[in-house]
Amino acid sequence: MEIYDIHRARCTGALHFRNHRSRNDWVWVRRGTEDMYGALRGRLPAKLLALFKIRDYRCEDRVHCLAGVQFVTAVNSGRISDVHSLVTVQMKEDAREFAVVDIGTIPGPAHLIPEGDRRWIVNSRIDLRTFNEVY
Amino acid sequence: MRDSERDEETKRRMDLFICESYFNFVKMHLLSHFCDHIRQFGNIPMYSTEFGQLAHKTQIKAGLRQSNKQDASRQIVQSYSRQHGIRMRLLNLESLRRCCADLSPDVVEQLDTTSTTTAPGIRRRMLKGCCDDVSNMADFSLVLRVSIQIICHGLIRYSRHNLPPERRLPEDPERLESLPVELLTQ
Repeated sequence: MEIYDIHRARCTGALHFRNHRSRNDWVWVRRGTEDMYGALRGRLPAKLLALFKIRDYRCEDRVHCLAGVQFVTAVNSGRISDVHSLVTVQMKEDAREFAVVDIGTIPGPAHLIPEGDRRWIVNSRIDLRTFNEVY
Repeated sequence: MRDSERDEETKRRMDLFICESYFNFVKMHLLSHFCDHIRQFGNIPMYSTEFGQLAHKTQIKAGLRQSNKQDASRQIVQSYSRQHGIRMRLLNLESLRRCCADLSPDVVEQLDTTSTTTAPGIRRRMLKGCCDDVSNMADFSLVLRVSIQIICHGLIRYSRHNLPPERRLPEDPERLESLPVELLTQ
């Protein structure tokens, strides 16, 4: 028997979502090895800007399933805070506007709690998978 | 509302919240018994009701479908017992094979084709909601409100770092912009 969870990561780009403002969910993106980004263990949250496919007709009509994201950076090298024992991330002013990743590197949605101006706390208690995988 | 009034209101609500709140309800009280219960009866997942629901689906509903609907309960039990017996036998045989026991070739062949272990969870990624307004890079840039140069730069960077040379996207911006693009707004 095959059991799987459905996690919907929604992304409308700059378009409206149900007559409200655009929706760009936070997702986890695997980047690098497990020893990177401290407690985040090689994963970084990113804002999903676009989900798209690009067809390369020159190369056997190959389709690349890609995602446009905007990465945040882990504050304090991803060490957990003494106060709330969670990791804080921030979006720097000079952060790259649009980075492209393969959708295969997105394990699932992330839950970030706004802490201040361009700063968020990464909630690792949102579900058991995140709790086990992240910190 | 002025700041002072707002502070007073907040304080009043906090006082009310503190004097009205308590943790003397069953759910919290049961937590204090968990430790003793685990020591006495074993681990908690053994008593999960989800297994009962799953059993209803895999044992009873599947068994009923396989029966001829005449005296179905007996057939359901027999069917499940038979399946359980076969599964146990397969597990024993696999265990014997791991211990390098002398098994006949047809049994080994049968074990290779029949898996008793469940496959690891598969993560499926389904992309939905194709946006009809986007067919090329220029439309894509317009809808996203990100300049086409930035998108091309991101794509080239991705291609260089993640794709093998024979599968790389063209680095010439003009050729890259000519590739068909499909935007998914799920």
